[in-house]
Amino acid sequence: MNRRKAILSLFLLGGGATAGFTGYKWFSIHKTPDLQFLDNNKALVADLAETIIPATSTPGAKEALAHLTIISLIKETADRKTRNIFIDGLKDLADYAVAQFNQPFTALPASRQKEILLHFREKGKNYSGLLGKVKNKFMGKSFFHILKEYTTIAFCTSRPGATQTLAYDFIPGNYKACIPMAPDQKSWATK
Amino acid sequence: MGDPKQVHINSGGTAENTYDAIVVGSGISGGWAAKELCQKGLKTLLLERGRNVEHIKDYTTASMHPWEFVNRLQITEQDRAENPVQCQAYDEGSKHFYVNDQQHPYIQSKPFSWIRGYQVGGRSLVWGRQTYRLSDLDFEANAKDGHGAAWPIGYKDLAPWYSYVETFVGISGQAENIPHLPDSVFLPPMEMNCVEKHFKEAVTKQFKDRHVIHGRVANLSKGWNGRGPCQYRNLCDRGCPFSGYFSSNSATLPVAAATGNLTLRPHAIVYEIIHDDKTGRATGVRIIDELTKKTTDYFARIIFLNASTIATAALLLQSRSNRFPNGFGNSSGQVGLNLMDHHVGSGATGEYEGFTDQYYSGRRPTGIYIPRFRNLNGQAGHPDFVRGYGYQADGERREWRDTMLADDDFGASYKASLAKPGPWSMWMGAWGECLPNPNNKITLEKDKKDSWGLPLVNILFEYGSNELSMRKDAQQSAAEMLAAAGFTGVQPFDYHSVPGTAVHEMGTARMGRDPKTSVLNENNQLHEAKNVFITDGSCMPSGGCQNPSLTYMALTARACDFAVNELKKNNL
Repeated sequence: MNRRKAILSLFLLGGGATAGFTGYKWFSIHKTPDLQFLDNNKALVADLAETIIPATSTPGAKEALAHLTIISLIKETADRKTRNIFIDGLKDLADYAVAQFNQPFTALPASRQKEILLHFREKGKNYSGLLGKVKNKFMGKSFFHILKEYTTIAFCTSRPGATQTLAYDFIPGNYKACIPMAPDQKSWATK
Repeated sequence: MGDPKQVHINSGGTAENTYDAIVVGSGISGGWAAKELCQKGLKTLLLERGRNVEHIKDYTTASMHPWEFVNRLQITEQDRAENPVQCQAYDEGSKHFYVNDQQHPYIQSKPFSWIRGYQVGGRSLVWGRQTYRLSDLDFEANAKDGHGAAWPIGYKDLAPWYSYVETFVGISGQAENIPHLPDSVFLPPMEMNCVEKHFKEAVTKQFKDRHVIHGRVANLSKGWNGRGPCQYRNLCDRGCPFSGYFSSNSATLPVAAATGNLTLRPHAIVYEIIHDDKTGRATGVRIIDELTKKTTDYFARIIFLNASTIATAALLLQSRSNRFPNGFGNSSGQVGLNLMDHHVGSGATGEYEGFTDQYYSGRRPTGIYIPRFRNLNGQAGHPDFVRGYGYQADGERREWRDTMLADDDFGASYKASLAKPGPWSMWMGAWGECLPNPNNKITLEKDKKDSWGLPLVNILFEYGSNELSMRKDAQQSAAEMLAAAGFTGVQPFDYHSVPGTAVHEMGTARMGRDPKTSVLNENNQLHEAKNVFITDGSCMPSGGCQNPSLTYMALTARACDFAVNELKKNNL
């Protein structure tokens, strides 16, 4: 058990002694979020969203304008903790790209962008089971998980995402309880 | 403003404001009262505290695609901050059918979510539409185990009225001949999918007294009385442009209006029942206009209160006079007591490995149902609790909302997994009976008032040991059935749902034979003012574990029939 994990275990036991150690972290996720940063970095969010859901035979996140929805959803629907983790994560990631590859994330080829996201995924790895739930509750989800979830929601509720990657039937008209899967059966966009 | 009673202005003459009948509230039971009374020839005034909602025309979100919603149907931070209670129930597509918590405050002595829809149609626009009859197992429960007051009626009294309302409503389901869950008059059922059929077969084979049946739902599986059929969009809580499900707006109010006998008065907050001490009858009601705050008196020979459980009790408690110092019809002291809900949010989930070549199309607006199987007549009683619970359940394949949480993948392979139907899973949640308990109650605040000068409601409600024991059993039994049916990764759950979450408030003006211990008699008449009838959830002496709206509808139709007969006999 590493130190971070040990400290989280204390939360499980109701230990208050961890407050000093996590105080800075606590502040950083509860401060007033820098929402302006989102509007100034649409291209960064667009490239990240495209890395999560790329164009294939169907449009990807960028064509679905998922980044605009992500920014709007972070502003309107996310809680303060999630907003801060997401915005701080974007800043970290932008810095990391320059530090590692001397170029902004948006100027890098897709393969490098993927590499960077893999790094942030590793950083955001959570513990399994109860300990992971406790971490999410106190510290919020990781930047990577927030990015992935908001990208997915934005994409799957977009017109291209719902109607081309997924199957969308606004007015089904009837219900068939059991049908054989078609060879390229897509999953339903809404339920 | 101050006390509305002191600024009373009658905007019209008595004759102009006089009707044969007044109905207070246009939700699921008030809509029925209006329909029945109008059809029986009574000039009926229907008072609704909120705005008008015209069927179809005012369903402003009903035809919107997900991408047309700014917040993609997600709840916002503003919702959580300003509307902490109501936002548990609504989404961006249905928010306009719920009240605003800031405008309509109440006091929670203990946490209780009072979910409300103040508009013509009330919560019938957004209800869950599950419809199950009560049986004598429920009607006899209070008398048998001593909790609450005995019901003054039994199943045989209500059975014909269940049939009567079902024939109009249109309920999809299948006859099963289960003694404690009597069959309704049914339209064809909405079929089970393959994993549900498998579950049904396994449970029926391995457990005595346990049935797995089609959800019984007030959605039209075929065209019915000029409405529907259901288009399987599963967007019911936005209002249905196809009239595919039952609401006051789609069904009862149009019929009432067609008689020419209905006067609908929106924005009318009824704040007092007027009583004539000489005759011992109510003569009418006082309203305050929601928008102008002007007060008006309306008069009628009979009055139906269908304001919903908590609001009806509050109206009685507000209506104090020399004759009724503790509230209208409240010499028993029972008004406001015995608040009940159903406890929800305990059960289990599991995954099923198999049927990978099977899927479904269309969005069925119901699931499956496992009727109560605890403490049935002839069974040994459960050691930890009396009464019981039923499960609502459904089987489905994993789709994007769950796939996104399943692993840490991203990129083209992740996109492909979003597009592919995932494994089958089943969710089972219990709806359980809450015992009538006089400590669970609503009272009025002395000093705190709303924008109309009316006292705030204070709700004090908490689960007792019977409910908590039942929730444990509901988790274990769900997990046990899923495991027996071959599900894997079975997880019992308890969401620790706040009381009120089921939106099945009942009690607070119970029926009973004895005026000393009950508020209403066997015909839903106030013991102390025979021309006042209450047929919303407040009349319920106990709640069963079945979704209750069908029972309110049947009680309403029955009481209307009684009331009009009594009027004809000049008894009222």
